[in-house]
Amino acid sequence: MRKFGVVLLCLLTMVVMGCGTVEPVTPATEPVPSINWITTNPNLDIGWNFQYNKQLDAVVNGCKWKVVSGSLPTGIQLMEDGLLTGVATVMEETGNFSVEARKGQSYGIMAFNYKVIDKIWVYPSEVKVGNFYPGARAEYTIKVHNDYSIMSEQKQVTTESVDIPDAQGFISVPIPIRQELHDGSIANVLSLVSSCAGDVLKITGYDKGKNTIQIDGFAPMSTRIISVSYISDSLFTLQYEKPSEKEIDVSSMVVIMEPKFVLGPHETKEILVALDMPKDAKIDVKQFQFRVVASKGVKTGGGMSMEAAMAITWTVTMR
Amino acid sequence: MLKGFKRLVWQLAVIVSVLSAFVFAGTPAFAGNTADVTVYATPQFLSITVSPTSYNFTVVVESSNTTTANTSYFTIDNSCSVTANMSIGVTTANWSGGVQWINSTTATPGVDTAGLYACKGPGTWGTDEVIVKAVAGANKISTNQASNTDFYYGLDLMAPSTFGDGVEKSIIVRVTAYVGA
Repeated sequence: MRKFGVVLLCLLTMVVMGCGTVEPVTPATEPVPSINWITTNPNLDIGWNFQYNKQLDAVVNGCKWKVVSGSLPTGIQLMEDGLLTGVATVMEETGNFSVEARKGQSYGIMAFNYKVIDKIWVYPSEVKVGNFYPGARAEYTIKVHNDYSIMSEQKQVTTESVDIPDAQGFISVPIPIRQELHDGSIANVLSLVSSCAGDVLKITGYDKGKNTIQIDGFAPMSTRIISVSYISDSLFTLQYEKPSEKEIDVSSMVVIMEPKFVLGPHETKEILVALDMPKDAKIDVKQFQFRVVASKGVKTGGGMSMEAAMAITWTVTMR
Repeated sequence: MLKGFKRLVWQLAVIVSVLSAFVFAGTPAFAGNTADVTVYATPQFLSITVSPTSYNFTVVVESSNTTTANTSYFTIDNSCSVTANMSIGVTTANWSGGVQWINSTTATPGVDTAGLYACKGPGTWGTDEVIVKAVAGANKISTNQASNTDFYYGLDLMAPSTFGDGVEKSIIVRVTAYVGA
């Protein structure tokens, strides 16, 4: 009985000792945000005055998103599913904001920088024609917008032809400001010379007709390299294109009212495109597609030229 | 009585005629063959640019294979407001300059015939590349490219097995953004 009492006492002691052990208590704090939780490039380049849609991404799907600091570009909002959407209305607006993406207790925060700039665009992306038949005509006015791109050229000039009053001269410098298309057409596109660097140089004028700029401040030297920056008008083309070799060729039925045109910076043009199908046309498919491709002129010659084009898809459903 | 009925019918006929004239005067004068064609558009914008805008492989030797520095050499700044496909092609069948090179539709080099491949970055040459051929039937370099998401590509030139001359050749490579198949 006494032994039992000792054992019981020991057990009680152990229990008491055990209860007396103070385990460290973790305070109920907010989880630390995960690093690299948000995977979208934080530098946003947003087009001015046309629809912007960008889905922000995190390492897991189904996050809830919100802005936690800073401000979004004027006209843009962040949806709860992470879609940045809207029309940025303030040209050249810059700024930054931070967003939080959360799923359960896990979350991440990322700071974004943005800049709103004017970009090339075409509208719409698709045109659908229904109930069509031989003898019918369908029309739609598309829009093409030019951006505001500053171009730079390295130019070697000589002083041979310089008039040098008081050891200072001025010179007319031809600069390569024409755009040539692959079909050989050329347009003078100089709009505005913005700067000229290379020495103590000053632009005193430019001549759009002669493709030259007048520069003052040359000291008499044989040759030198200058860098000319300018803002250019742009030569655009609109062309019919079959989306694939299998599609039927309706090239003779597609009417583009103005297939070549020059746009100044920030300029938008509306152009009528029609599909005019003769009464005796034999179309043996229920539906077909073609594209109207808008492209900006590129300089050719000297290797390969890269061109970016935007194709409006026309889907025609026959009656 | 009959006389009164006839007068009533006559008056009704006049009223109907006048009303009809008003009704049809308010109807737009469609060209007869276009009245029931439906045309509508998807309100989305397409917007892409490329940089740099030129590339020179410089001097290449017969049957050589030359690539850009990497498969992310060119950048497509994609500002489309909609998911779009991107194709890559050349705007002419031949390379211009002196004795023209044929741009092979199978990227098979031959006598004055060059092949051209494109590879979307950060892909691998030989496994992720597509043939760059004429824009009609051009291959896709990017499928379902998310809106406002840029991408990159590089080029691989398969030089002709025999050159007709040493004049520099040029060609335009076009990347096209479009919606649909």
